[in-house]
Amino acid sequence: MTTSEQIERELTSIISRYHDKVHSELQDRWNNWNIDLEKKEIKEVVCGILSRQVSIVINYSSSPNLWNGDMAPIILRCMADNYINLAWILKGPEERSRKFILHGLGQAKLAMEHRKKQLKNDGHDPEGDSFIRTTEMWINAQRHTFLTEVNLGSWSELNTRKMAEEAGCIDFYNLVYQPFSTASHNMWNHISRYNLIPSDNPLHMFLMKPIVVQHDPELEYLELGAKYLSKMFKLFDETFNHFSKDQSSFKLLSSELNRIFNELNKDDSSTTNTGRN
Amino acid sequence: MKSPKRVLENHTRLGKKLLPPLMNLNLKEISYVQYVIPELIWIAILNKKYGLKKGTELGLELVRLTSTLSLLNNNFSYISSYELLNNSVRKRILTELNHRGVLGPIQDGLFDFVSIYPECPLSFLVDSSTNSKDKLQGLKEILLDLYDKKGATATFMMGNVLYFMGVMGKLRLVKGSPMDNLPELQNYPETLDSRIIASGVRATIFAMIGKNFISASGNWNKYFWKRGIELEPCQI
Repeated sequence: MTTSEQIERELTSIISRYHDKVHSELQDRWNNWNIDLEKKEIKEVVCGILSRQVSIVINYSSSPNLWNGDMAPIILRCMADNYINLAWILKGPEERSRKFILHGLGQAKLAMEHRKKQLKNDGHDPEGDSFIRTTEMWINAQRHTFLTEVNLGSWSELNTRKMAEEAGCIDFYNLVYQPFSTASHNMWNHISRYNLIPSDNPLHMFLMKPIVVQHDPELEYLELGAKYLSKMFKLFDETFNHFSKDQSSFKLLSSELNRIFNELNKDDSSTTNTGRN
Repeated sequence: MKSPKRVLENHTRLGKKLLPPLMNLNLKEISYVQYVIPELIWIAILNKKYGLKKGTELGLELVRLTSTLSLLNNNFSYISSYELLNNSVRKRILTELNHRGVLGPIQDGLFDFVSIYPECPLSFLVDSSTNSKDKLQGLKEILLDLYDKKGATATFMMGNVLYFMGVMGKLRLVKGSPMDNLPELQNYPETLDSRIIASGVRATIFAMIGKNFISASGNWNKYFWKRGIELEPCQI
């Protein structure tokens, strides 16, 4: 077996153990949080957001072709957004969880109306459309569509920066959400570095031409995803006084990755250093 | 305790924009690559072909003579300025350069360049009916050198412009200032003085090729870059 096959096998095993750990961390929080059905919306929203972060990280960590500077920020920014939402909700869980739900229902209603209109324009009967029927049932199960208002603005009625400020995580916004937004929004400062390359022909005045790069996976990006999930668990634990005696999934992943690198460095008779310790 | 510094504290806020301090001076950015290189590249070509001393002498002859004969107040270090010459002045320039024995070397030096850019305003100097792509490699090598605006090729090219102006009495340098010792530039980048002068040269050239020059200049630089893409398309 070649070294790279060995690493791949080892990595697959580490990630599988990491997934198990992440699942058990989510279960631990859900199972040990007392249910007060009068405030079920708080639990649904908070754990829904946690579950979303877990789901993202599991899929992301299974996709090495996303662990690069071009693709990873799209996922990581989404995780940062999810974190800021939770941090802001936790500053007023009752009112803000409700707001979060109602905005979501309004958005679903709006999307449904757009689809109805499109179907009518195309000469079809919207009543027979399965998407519309299931969406309507989903909304009605929570709130009658005729009572559901549509809010065209942000769900919190604040921009994300303001939310982060109020939630005490403005540094996370400035250092993570903001820089990764350039990839999610396909801005020039991302595109010019990842999707264009200057022509090497001096006759072309440094004309930037398109390039599609097949990036090698960078484990730092894998770790960042795990770190943002861990950050969210920590926020939950601090807010709800949850104590977990198990080692965190993030620590597990980090120490396992370090182990691989240390072994690699040991095996490598040359002076190459991975820079990790 | 002092409050921590805000990022970009020296910027002025205008609505949702943060304006850098120099924006208040109504400065306009001039692209060295886009504007300066096409205007002055002929000087670098002569320097490369004949060496700095002879290249500079040939360049000076052309610029000084054209300035005298044209009766225009333009700076004839810039290729664009030659677009403004009428045929009669062009003929007199050729005659006079020939008389001084420098027409041949100038033609030899610029022949390939003009062959590649047949619509170049300097094409009247060279009897070139060929429209040649064969000489591109040499031109590309010079362009590559020139892209480094702090490199020796670019520095001597820009330094020559100031030297020409100085010799023609069109540039007055403050006595005792580093720029007053312009010939020291030939030692660039070996000596500290030459590096100080080079910095002054760059700043002066950028001040001279300001937004007024760009808006008044003709089609040369557009043609120059368009021709490059024509000759070797940028494909992926």
